Amino acid sequence: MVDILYNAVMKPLAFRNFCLGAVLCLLASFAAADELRVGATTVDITPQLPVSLDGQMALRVASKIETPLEANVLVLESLSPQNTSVWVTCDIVTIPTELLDLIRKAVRARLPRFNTRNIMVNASHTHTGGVVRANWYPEPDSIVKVTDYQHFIAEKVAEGIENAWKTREKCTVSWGIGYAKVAYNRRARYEDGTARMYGKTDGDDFRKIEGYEDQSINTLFFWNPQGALKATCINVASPAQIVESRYTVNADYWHPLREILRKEHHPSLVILGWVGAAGDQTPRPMYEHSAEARMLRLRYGEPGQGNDFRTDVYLKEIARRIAECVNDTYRVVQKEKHENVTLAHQVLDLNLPMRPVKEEEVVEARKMQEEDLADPIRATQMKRRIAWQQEVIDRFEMQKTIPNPKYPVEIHVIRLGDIAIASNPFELFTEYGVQMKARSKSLQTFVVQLVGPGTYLPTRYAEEGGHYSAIVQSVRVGPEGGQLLVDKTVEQINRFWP
Amino acid sequence: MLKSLTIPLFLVLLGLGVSLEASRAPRLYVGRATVDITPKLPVAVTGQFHLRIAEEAQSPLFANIIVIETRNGSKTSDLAIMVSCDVLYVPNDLIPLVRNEVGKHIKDLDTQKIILNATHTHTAPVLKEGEYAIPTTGVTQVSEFREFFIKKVTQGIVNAWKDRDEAEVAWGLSYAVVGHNRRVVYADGTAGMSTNTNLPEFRNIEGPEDHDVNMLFFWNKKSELIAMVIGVASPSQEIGGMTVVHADYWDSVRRMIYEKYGKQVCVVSWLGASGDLMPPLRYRKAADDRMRELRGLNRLDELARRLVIAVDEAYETVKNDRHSELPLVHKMEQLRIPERLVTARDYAEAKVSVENARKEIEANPQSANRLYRKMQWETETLRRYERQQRVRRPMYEMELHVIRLGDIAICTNEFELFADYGIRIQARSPALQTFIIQLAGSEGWGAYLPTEKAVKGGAYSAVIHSSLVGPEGGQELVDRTVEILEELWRE
Repeated sequence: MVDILYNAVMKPLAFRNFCLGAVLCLLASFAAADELRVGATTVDITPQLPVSLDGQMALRVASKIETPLEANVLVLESLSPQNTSVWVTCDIVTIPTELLDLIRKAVRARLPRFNTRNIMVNASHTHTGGVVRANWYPEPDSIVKVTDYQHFIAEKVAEGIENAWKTREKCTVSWGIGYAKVAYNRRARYEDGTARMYGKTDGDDFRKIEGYEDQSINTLFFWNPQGALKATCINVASPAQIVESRYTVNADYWHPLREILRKEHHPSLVILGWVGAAGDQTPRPMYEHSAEARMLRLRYGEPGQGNDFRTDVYLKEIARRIAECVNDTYRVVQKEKHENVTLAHQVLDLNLPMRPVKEEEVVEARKMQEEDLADPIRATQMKRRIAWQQEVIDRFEMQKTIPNPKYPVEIHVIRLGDIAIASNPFELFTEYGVQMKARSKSLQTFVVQLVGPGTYLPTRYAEEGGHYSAIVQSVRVGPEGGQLLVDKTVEQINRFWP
Repeated sequence: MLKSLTIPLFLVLLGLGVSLEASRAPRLYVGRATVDITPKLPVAVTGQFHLRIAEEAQSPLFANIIVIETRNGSKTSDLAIMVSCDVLYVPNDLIPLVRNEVGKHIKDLDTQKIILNATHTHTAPVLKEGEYAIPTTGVTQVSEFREFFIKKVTQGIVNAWKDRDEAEVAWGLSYAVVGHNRRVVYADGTAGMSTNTNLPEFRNIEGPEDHDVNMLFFWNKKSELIAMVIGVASPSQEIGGMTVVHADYWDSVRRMIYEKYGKQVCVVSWLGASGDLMPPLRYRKAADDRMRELRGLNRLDELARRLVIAVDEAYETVKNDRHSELPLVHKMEQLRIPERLVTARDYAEAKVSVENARKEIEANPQSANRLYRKMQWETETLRRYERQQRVRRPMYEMELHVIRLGDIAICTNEFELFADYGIRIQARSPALQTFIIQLAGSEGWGAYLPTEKAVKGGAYSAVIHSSLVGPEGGQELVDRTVEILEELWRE
């Protein structure tokens, strides 16, 4: 069992050159302000049908494509000293380590001397994209194979990076911040101290929304030599999961948002969707459902679906809020375009303490797993949930031989002019992102989550409350590791602003 | 034959008409008025521990009044008189004086239906006697301003009463980032109010923020917009440390609204549950400031810009969903909720602190400017402790108003109510939208109602001197408010 866990979780990351503790990657060096060259492309990563969808416990097979899925690619280069930084956003639920490896390998095949270490790939966290995690769900013969889809994405993204690299040109950049109501903390707390993700809030035992919401939208704009908008990076602290339960392929709110922005600016505008620290957030309201639903009905003249916000109308509404914020920021900051900026990109390999599995937790995991396995239909449908429990059991066994196991993560810390970009592989609870932003010396700090395989990283308070997203099954790294992640990230950001 | 049918048919139709009339919701009448309550200068302004004598009024202070009445035929069905005042708080002892004065001018009015709330600007005159050691000459006295306030507000209510006419109303919800949670939690579990976050020991922002902007729009029978209510969960406290008279961000909001919607619009400000919120940012301030400077705005105008965008958005969405016949039910009760108990340790500490301040003031009378207010604040805690020793379960009695207007609810309280309580009420309320109005009257300066988490974290706004009622009372306030709301919606 320990081997299974090691192969599933640790090995893909372990073969890289990391040591115990934080190790600074020296491939990228600190650079002075310099002319910026930028290449940008969009590639289509819509899977063929029928395809299984990633993000829920049960297998969902889509037979309809509602929107295309995209990977948006930005390549940045400064010349003296030569520095590159590559940012890729994919309309998928997460970035498994094997997918990142495939992307880097495919890029090396096309651009042999390219620094693939500085490729940062994030997921928009749409729950209606193709499955990208091998062995995660049952794979009927009739559907697209996960490994085939991984290779497809890797090739398309590599093609996008190659095109962006070859078409890079001298560009200017601006940064700005605005606000839009998109993040709703999805964890409700109750009188007895328990928490529930998407829990009811209209009962008399409801006490509070568990944590903070970050409504800031950090934005980057890149202009080509003719002064036209070429690309934008939009950092929203809320995942793209409005229509998360559908059996269709859908890029969620990023699709209508891209439609609005491309209509307004340029049909080929490259738009990177960066999800901020939002492990405890959702784009859907947790209370005042009727008031929100009425405003939607009046605004769009469509009947809607009562208080269900998993609708096309609500996708439009969230896209509208973000687009208005982005356009407002655009109008303000376009007067401050930067030609010469510092570009620096550091990749850190950290070993974060894993969240220990307690004996009572493994007992519970075994019990729940047995319940699923006892019913042959559930045993097939709930393969993911069974594996989810199995991982807890394996971790518990592993702890017997490795008492303080570590979880290796790759994080990217980038300086571009006055702003910092800091990645992490988790569904990071917002509080950690706020800590990074508050302690960072940069003017703005873009926190990008799911630059990697995911798993929630809850706060201590959330752990006390329990429930999905804060229980041991949902979590590989806990609050102790979360604090270390914050401290190391801030340390690196602030090194860029000595 | 035809004739023989006509009379019964007429009678049936008449009967139907009567029953239709009886089943129709009451007709809405609205009146509004704005009165200037800017004090004579110089004047002591309240909201900080140290004495501030303002020599300058940088903006006018207003009381904005709206009378909402429904009638069945010519008979009043129910009514609410809502007065929003540019002051720190409206002391509870002042409210009966206003009601009494209004009663002299409007015959048979149930003056208990008058609600006064504060925008919580920290740059408005002292309204309660004894707060500061104010010079007795050369400065507007508290008693003078109170008299002036009563006179002007009464005049405004009378004007609004006379202004009543058939009207339409629409409600809407939008969002604006105005209030930020000001309580900062550190690694050791302690909290600070408006303290630093750029520290390794910073852990989180203690509570939520509520960026809802709840709105009511009123039109007269000529379809002119005559008034709007803007409910914001943030006190008007951006420039609270200045020594001037100023309405804070509401001044900018009103100017922008007048420019866009016309001077005839009365802007009524309702302050949502925001005891732990205020406009200044606790992090990302440099980025926010840069954007504002690029826009060429000062901070007050920036907050107003955000609010007016929210107003515009809601207005455009709901302007055709107007109601002229709708239920209005205004319930008022004296709610008794448990007081927060002063411990023997609180008492002992306060006693030492008060004694030290007294000695310092005796030795150096000038130090009263700095120490008197704090000394009074802590003296209240001593009095509370002594009173609580004589009572088995000391209760705080407050006036609770709960109103149903069509699909929306309005609920008042007398506190600087932490946002969690407001969210509890809003989430559980059966109303389509629930407007919370905090500081609708207040027993004293700094009547915060903190959460359990805040009490554990400590710091100003959660310490014993800051709060007359604690988390237990807060939950009872929530439960009773929701109970009345449920009754109103069952009816």
